[in-house]
Amino acid sequence: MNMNDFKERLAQDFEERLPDVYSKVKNTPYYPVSPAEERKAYNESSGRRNLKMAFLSCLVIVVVLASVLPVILFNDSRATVSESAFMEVVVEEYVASSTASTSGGETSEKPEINLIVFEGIITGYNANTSGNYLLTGETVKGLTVKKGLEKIASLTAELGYVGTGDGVNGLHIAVAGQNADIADTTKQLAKVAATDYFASNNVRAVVTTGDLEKSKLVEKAKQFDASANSSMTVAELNEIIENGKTFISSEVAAAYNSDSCVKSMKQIYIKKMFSMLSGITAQFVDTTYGGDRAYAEERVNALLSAYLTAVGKGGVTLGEKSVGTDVLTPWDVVENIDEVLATVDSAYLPVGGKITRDEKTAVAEFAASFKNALLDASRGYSDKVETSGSFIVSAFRFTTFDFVTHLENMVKDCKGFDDLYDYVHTEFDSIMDSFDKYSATENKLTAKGADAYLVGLESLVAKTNTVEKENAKLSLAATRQTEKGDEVVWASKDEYKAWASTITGE
Amino acid sequence: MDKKELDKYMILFRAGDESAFEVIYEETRRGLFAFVLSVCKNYHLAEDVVQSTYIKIRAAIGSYQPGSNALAWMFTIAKNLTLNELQKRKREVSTDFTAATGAEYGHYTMDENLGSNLLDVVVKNLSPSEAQIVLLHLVNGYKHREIAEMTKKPLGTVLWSYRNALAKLKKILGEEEEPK
Repeated sequence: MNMNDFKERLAQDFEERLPDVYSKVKNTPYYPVSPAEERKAYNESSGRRNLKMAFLSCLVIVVVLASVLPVILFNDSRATVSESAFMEVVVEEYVASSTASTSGGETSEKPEINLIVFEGIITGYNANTSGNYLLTGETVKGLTVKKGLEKIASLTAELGYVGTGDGVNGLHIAVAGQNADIADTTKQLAKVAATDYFASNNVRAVVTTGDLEKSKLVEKAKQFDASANSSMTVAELNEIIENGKTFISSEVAAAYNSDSCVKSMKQIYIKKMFSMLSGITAQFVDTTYGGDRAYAEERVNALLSAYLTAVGKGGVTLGEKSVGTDVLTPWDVVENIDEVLATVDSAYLPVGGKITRDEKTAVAEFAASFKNALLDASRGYSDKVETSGSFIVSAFRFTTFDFVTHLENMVKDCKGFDDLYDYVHTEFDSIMDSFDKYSATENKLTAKGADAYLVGLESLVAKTNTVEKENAKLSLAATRQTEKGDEVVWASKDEYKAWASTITGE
Repeated sequence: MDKKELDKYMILFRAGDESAFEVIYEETRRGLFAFVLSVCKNYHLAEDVVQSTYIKIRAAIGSYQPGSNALAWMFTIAKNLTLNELQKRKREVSTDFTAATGAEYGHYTMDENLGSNLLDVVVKNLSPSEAQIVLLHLVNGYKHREIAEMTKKPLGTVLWSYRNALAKLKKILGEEEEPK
């Protein structure tokens, strides 16, 4: 028998034996997914595909880089700056034009930008308003010094700062390096890049370089941290400036219309926190109770009821404390959830029967996640306060206390697992849908333009505008002035941390 | 029907299109039956499990991830149900389908009425893994690569098992009957 015959006979036998169960299964129930969920699932799937593609792309890039990097390094060992450097780039007028821009007694502002360098350009920002034209957003972030300076040089030419009229303009590049070698390397890389660009594009412009006085860098860093001083290294000063630039966005945003933005910010923080908690709760219900929220609720209530019954009989302890007689701290129950569950281990719950091992594990994990989420939220907020010390606290004063008071009340309320669960369940009646609600609220606020925090933040994150920054600083100063009487300042960070720890219960 | 097309029908069914289920059923019932029969080696049990598998598929369609391998998903359900059935019957069954031979593995549930037609010979004498590959390839027309994906086995293993299976059949069926 050849293969074809064998195949044919086997297929024939198979067809004879093949059962048809369609009629038996077609009337069984099934659970279609709504079109909205279907779209969501499809998008998620698409997202995963995109992620996969992104990963593959990265892999390809890594492989390519790995193969060409040695060549690049061999050919141009000075192409990168291996230590921190701070660069000031200013458009200078070297030979005055006969049609001087100073006519009418007004002097045109010389565009000035600052670049923080470590290997490549970590970040760049405008040192004055005109600099904004050379550096909108983060156009040079991530570029090498060579590429970044080529880009800046091309912009100066395109915008007519150099190469036009009968005067001679150019760029002055001043650098403060972690050491003299780094400063020299950075200067040379920048100068060669800009000079080459101008030469190859027939732009009449000169490029000069110089050293940036460290005192000037300290002065810049002091804008963000008053403790900045000349004994700090360039890397340390750069870090202060970089962090300050990152943080200034939300700080500046908060300074706009301070009353409304502070309120919005409080709402956003609280909403974000509860969206996080709702996510944890939803996940717990999904994984432990197959997404059956009603059953989950009954089951947990039955569990709590059994626990409370056990407590009522007396002799139940949590850690070293006696439940019912000792004062419990907010986290006693959560931290000792295993003991709570052990108390009801043998209890037969009226809904769903005896608690299972998997269920116990899930409940314990849920309680731990819940606690961590709350602590993360408070810790995250504390970090913000701590980053800028009293300066930020004064601007965010109401936010701080409203938020922390809310958190404090919540934590105080949660003396037991039942409180913890009830808090989420009752106060936020639609906790399971709060992701959607949160998104909808956020969109609504943004769309209306009523949320100064969001609008301000979005606009300022997108661009670093010196004018906005200056205005915001004025606004911030005014806010501080008007609220000075209520300003809360701690003598030290340790004092602040001690205060914070009483709030968070850590 | 290729993987993408089947996925399309799965998405339709997932969204509530009952008619898509009929297409899915027609396209997959041979593969599922071959898969299950190879493991349990019992026609009646295989029929029950296939039926349960489709019921389970209908119930769990909401958890099907669009864009994934629908057949692999179904086979996983079928495999779990088959093992559950076998365990329910308190049989000691190894889950390592590749290691066991038909004789070693299938005697717990093997249909005593298996005869001498070719399907019976395949089911009776080949290991579950070998029988699966032979049936899925020769009867259902799946490529070895597709079988590897569906059964989550390396392609090399599938090819090697297939060659082994043919060699066994050649020996069993004798020179006259051997598949060439």
